[in-house]
Amino acid sequence: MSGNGVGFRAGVEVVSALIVGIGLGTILDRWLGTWPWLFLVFFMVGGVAGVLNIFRLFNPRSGAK
Amino acid sequence: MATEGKTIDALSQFELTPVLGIIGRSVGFSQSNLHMIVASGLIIALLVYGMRPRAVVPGRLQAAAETMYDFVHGIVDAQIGHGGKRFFPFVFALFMFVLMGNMLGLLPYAFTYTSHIAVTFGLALIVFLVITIVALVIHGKHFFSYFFPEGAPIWLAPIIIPVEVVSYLSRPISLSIRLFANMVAGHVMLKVFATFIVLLGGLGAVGPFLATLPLAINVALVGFEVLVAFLQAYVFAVLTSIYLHDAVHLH
Repeated sequence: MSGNGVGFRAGVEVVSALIVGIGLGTILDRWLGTWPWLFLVFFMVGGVAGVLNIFRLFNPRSGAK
Repeated sequence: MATEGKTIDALSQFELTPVLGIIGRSVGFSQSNLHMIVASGLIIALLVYGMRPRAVVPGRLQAAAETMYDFVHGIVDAQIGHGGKRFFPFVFALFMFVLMGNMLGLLPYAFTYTSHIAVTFGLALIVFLVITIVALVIHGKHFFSYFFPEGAPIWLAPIIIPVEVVSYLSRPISLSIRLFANMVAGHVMLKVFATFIVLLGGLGAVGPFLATLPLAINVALVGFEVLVAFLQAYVFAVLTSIYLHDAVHLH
């Protein structure tokens, strides 16, 4: 795959993890009425998950056994 | 058509318009749906009429059908491994539907249904539901150990579990955004350079000569878009297979 393609895939992985984190945090906050604390927590969790996704992109879990 | 009042209008190509007159308008049957039906019909026609001769030395259509079959079979075999055969029809259907959508969209006047996030997210959601249900059926409660790797210290659980859950939930999002963004970007670029041809072509005596530059770029871009159309269908199938592998084998 070209360098451009790898960069694009890595970007998509981070953005999608952040979308899920932000969405989950916002929904939980609206449900529990704790705005904005869970949003902030899940924003961080989304960022960490994005980095984890990139790590998995280059080190597939299935290969590690 | 591409230029309304000498401005670049690259996004109107993604607008949905109802087709089939009054019936289409009343049920919201857009050209996107029409292209999906056409794509499905073409896939079925390729497989049914292509495989009808059942020749030992295949003709052109039969060779195309067999190549597609072999190609996806190779992906499924390599990525899912043991116990992956039963998911072949699912991956094959997804691959052909995405590939045919991407390729059809490159034809003039055609619409690319994979350039709408609603369509790609729908496909990704089907994949997500299938991998989750397959994992739950095969492994039962053991499936939830997927979110906490063995051997990790227990006090890290409050950090690892949310991160793993978010990472798992981000799969359908990244799957759908990747396909949708690639198709939109390609078609916008084609449209922008096509508009340059028209705008430069109207610049008096030197215009037509300058207009050959974006024309040359567009010729190269169409070739590149064929590559992207195939590559994105391939990536979609490979990622689906990798997720199915995770679902079948857990780790």
